[in-house]
Amino acid sequence: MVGERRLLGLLLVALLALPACPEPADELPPLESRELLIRASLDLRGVRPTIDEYEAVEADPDALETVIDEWLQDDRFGERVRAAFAPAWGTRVDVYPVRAMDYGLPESVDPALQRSIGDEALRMISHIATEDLPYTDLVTGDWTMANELLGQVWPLDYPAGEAGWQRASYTDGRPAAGVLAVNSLYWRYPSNGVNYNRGRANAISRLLLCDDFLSRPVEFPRNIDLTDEALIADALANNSGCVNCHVNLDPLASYLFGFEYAEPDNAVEVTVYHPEREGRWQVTTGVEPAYYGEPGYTLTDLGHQIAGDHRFAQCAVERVYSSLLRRDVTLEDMDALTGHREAFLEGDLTLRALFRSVMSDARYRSSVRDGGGVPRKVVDPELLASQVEDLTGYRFTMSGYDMMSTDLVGLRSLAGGSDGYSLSPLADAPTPTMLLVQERLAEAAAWHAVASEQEQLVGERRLFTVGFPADPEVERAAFVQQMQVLHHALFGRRVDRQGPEVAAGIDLWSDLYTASGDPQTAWAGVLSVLLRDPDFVLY
Amino acid sequence: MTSNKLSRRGFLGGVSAGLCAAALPWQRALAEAAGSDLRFVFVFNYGGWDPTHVFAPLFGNPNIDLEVDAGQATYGGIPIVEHGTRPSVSAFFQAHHARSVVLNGIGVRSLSHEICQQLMLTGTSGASDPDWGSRLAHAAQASYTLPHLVLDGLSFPGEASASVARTGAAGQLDSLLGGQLLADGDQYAGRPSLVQEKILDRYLERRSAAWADGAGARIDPRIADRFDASLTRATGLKDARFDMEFSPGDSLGSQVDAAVNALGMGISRCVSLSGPQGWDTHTNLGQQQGLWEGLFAGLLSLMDALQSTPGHREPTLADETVVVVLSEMGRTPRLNAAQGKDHWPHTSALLVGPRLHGSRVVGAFDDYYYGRGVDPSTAEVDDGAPEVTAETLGATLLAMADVDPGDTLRGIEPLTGLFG
Repeated sequence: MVGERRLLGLLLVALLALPACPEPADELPPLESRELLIRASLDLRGVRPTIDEYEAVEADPDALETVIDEWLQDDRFGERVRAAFAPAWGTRVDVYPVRAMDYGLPESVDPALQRSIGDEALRMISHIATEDLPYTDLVTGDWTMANELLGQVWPLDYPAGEAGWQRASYTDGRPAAGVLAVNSLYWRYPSNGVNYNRGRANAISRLLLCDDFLSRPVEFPRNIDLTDEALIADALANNSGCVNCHVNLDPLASYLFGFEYAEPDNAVEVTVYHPEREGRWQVTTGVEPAYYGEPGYTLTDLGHQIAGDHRFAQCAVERVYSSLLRRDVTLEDMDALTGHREAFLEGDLTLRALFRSVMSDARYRSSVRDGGGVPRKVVDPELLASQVEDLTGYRFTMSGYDMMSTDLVGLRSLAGGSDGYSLSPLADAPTPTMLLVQERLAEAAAWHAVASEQEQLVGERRLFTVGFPADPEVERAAFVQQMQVLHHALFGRRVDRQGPEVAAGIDLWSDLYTASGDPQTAWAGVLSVLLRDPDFVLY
Repeated sequence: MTSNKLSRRGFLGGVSAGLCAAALPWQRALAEAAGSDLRFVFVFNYGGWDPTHVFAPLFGNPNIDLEVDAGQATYGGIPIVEHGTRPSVSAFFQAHHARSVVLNGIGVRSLSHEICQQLMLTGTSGASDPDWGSRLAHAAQASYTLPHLVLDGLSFPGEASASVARTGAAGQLDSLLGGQLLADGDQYAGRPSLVQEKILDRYLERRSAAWADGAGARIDPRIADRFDASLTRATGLKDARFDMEFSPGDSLGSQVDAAVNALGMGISRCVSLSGPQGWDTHTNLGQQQGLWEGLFAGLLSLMDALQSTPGHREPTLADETVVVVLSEMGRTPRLNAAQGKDHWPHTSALLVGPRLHGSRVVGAFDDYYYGRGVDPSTAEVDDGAPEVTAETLGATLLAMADVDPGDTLRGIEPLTGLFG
């Protein structure tokens, strides 16, 4: 009786706690087409639409779908795929255990080498996307992705004398298992001596299946002495509190002993695969390799087992959905995810099909948070950098570092980026340091753009196509027109010649000119403040 | 749209009130700081420390390996492990035991660094909830330019993101505030002067307000508020750079001055620092000796600085600042084959500050090095009560500061017996 009463109480509490019924997704208020065009362009290409593209959709709103299809074929789509997976994979860290100097390369090369290592797995995913390969190739392919640096220092058949990212294969006899057989994964997720690859096995489960053993609450049994190693081994096999995870985790870990390093600080030791160690599970955990009860022998077997697990495709769907909506997946998203999974399967497991499906979702195209929509997304550091570079030609680099993509000396985490190690999520709203980064980047980019475009013919310019008029009284029409051009180029907005944006811009120019006495400085200031506008950093 | 943003006038008023209070310490009541006046310093030690080096003198327990040449000493009511390599530990407890509480047997439910760090800092295993420092700071955000300053280490700002700023591993915030960082870039062509910068900032403030007002239903007011609040704080930080340095370095000792400056100037309510690096000693546990010594040497410096800096309502900052020293996990009771210790889901923490019933150890480890239950109202060991968890610690800190624990800690009882 008491139990029933408690159950009723819980039900009542649960009902009271329920939010109001969410709005059906297809009834969510949509973004206007200009805003959706910007969102899609930034998500697929990392840049804002061109004036021609704004005008095309303005003239024919139905052209939007064609434009999105074209952008999915854009060369810059690959980086956006990498960006979608990077926060979860956490491989874009600043420092790996092997440095350029360990390979006899100059220290100046190290930033590029570290970034190359961190991009290996992500490049595999983006290659699969841009070549329309089935996503299962990620765990079954006999290739990796490498550039000239990795080709130089790792055992790869990367063609001598070539440069740039391309497919290559390891030549040290490691099994064909896609990303399960690449160096960078195991350098990012090392395993200490007595962990016996369990941490790595969990990383694989988390990254590829979205199943994180470590997110499960651990109930450590108090009825046994866990200070005794023999009893621990027994508990892992027989205690229900331990078995729940270890029955699947440990056999998965047993596949990974070819990447066990006897000397973790030795560059030669960690660079090559060790087939002779594959069987070391026999003298460590004693657990045979298997995947959820299905036995196997090599990483190749594991790759095929993961490819056949329905959670593998489902996890990719969640990654893309979560990235494009910039929020965690919730229970309310399950119907939507099922639909996108169907589209993914019908599209032969190509990531283009998946991106296309999610970008057609009313939640992605909505302008409100309620009902699961996306009110405004804040640009991540790479997106801020790429759109600024596209418009102004400016990229913040220093001493070999791309300063917006590192934490060690750069601005990634201050700009709201995920820092790789802590796997903290991308900022989902503005922060003080993010706005400071935007401010300084905008200033440097604006001064650079003014200096650069001054040297260009008018017809070659992107932003100052009218020119750099210097007297608002004498050249009023040119001022008005140039302000209109800036708003159109940056935001796709046609502002009225009598509108408040134009008047405020000219007033600002005048104030800056009064302070500097230099018309170019005043124009740089005007451009910089537009690059800091809420509509530039929230999309 | 409502906004809780901090106005410049409000900030300056708050600072001048604080300075006035600091100038007249003899006129202030001797009562300890009220919860809402408390400030916090978090010192996190990444990697998982071994409490049996200091906090858990479990000598004579056959299940637990302690250093062979260590001994036990007691300062006030706090027994600790003492060792010749760690004079700063003894000096710290000698000087500060009266304001110190050692919390033993804290359970963290996981063995993963990342999960345990999130748990210990936020009480949840997700990274979307604000950490304790951000919650405490955000609750008083209207009174501070930068409520939570993260000088080093992890930060989980969550929905309090507009109240939190990191300085960056190489002090990037400092050079960002002044604009020098971009000037060192490869394509540098110029930047605005200070006067021009003020003109641009004023323009953007007006634009931000108009954007939020004019956007109507198309912009989520929460996003608009956070943009506006972040912009105000960014401008406040640029002004604050003339009074303090935001490039503290990566050692605890070097972070102390920046931390105490931020608290003393009324810029921040919470500051997060990190202790020495290298606690994850799966091999050669002896490395922890130097780490503990470095940590307590840094804590001695911190306490000295707090005690020598005027407080805002109390004689010194030490009278209104709670120092929270923690690590994400403990280490196994027994040495492994590599003479190291592995991850263990029970650990300790140290709290130092006003309102605490000091000279006391709260909680305990049992014979197998698990945490024992604690009665929240008395803070006495009670094996019938729940064990202390990271959530308990967080709920206790929030309760000390009179901050609503919110949904994530609903049902978690703070250890009210620990403070008063």
